[in-house]
Amino acid sequence: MVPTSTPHSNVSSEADAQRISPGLAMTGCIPSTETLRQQALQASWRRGRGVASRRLAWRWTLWYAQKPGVWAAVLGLGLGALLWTLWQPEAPLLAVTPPASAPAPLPSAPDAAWPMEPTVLIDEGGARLRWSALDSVPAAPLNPPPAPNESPLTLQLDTQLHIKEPR
Amino acid sequence: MSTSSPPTTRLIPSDKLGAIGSLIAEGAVFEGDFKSQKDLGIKVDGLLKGGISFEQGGTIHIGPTGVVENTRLEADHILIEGKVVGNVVARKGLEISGSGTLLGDAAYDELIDMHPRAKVRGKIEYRGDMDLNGG
Repeated sequence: MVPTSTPHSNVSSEADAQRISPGLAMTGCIPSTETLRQQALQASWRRGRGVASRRLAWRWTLWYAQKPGVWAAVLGLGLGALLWTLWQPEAPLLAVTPPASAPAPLPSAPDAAWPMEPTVLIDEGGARLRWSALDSVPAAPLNPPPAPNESPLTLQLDTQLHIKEPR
Repeated sequence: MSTSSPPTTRLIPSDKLGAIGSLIAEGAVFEGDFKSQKDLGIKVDGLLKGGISFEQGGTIHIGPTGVVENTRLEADHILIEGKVVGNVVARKGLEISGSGTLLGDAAYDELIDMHPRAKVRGKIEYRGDMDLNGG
C-alpha cells in the first residue's frame, strides 16, 4: 500500500521538495535556503548602505563645522549672493503681473468730464499702467493749468498792514 | 527583483561577504558566544552581547546598524561598519569603514584599512613579523 500524504507534509529539505515535485522550489512555493540567504543578505546590504552613507555624511559635516574657515566661507558666499541679488535692478526678484480677475485699483479721474480708460501694457519688465483717452474725447492734460486769479493782489507796501495811524 | 551588492571594501573580498550564512537581523538581540571551527561568516545588524570566534577562516561583518558589546571578535576577515565594544583580532584583514566605531584594542596579522572618519579608541597592534632595525 502506498502511503498517501500531502506533498508538503514530509518536506524536510530542498532535495525532498525537488523529489516530490520537480521544480517546486523554482516556482516560489518553497524558496530554497540559498535563495533566502541571498535575499536576506541583499536586503541587509540595501538597508546598511543608506545608514552608512548618512552616518559618514554626518561625521564629515561635524568635522567641517568645527573649522572656522568653513563658516567664514559660508558667510562670505551668502553675503555675496545676497548683495549680487540686490544689485540687479533690471531683474527684480518678483515680477508683479496684474491678476486677471481682480485688476489693480485705478486712480480716480480728476474730473468726470474726462472719460479715461486704463490701458495695461505688459512687457518683459512687468506690468505698466497708463491712462489713455477715449477716441471720442479729445485728449486733455491731466493737470490743467489753474485759472487766472480774477482778484489781483491789492496789497502793497503802503497798505493797511503797515499803517498804524488811523486814516 | 532589484539586486544589491555587498558594500565596497578595500581589503575584505566580496566573495567572503557574499558567502556569509548567519545573520543577526536589525532589531534582534543575541546574548552569548558564537563559535565555529569552520570557515563560515556572520553579519550582525542587531545587538550582540557576546563574542564571535572562528578557529580557522571566518568572516565577521558588523553592519552599520550593528552593535556588539562585551565582545572578542576573532576571524580571518573582519569588517566593522557599526559599533564594537571589545577586542578584535583579525588574522588576515581588518577594515573599519567611515561609519565604524571601535572602543577597544585591535590586533591584525596582515592587513589593516581604516577610513579617515573611522572612530577608534584603543590600541592597534600588528602581530606579524617586524624588522625593527631595517625599513
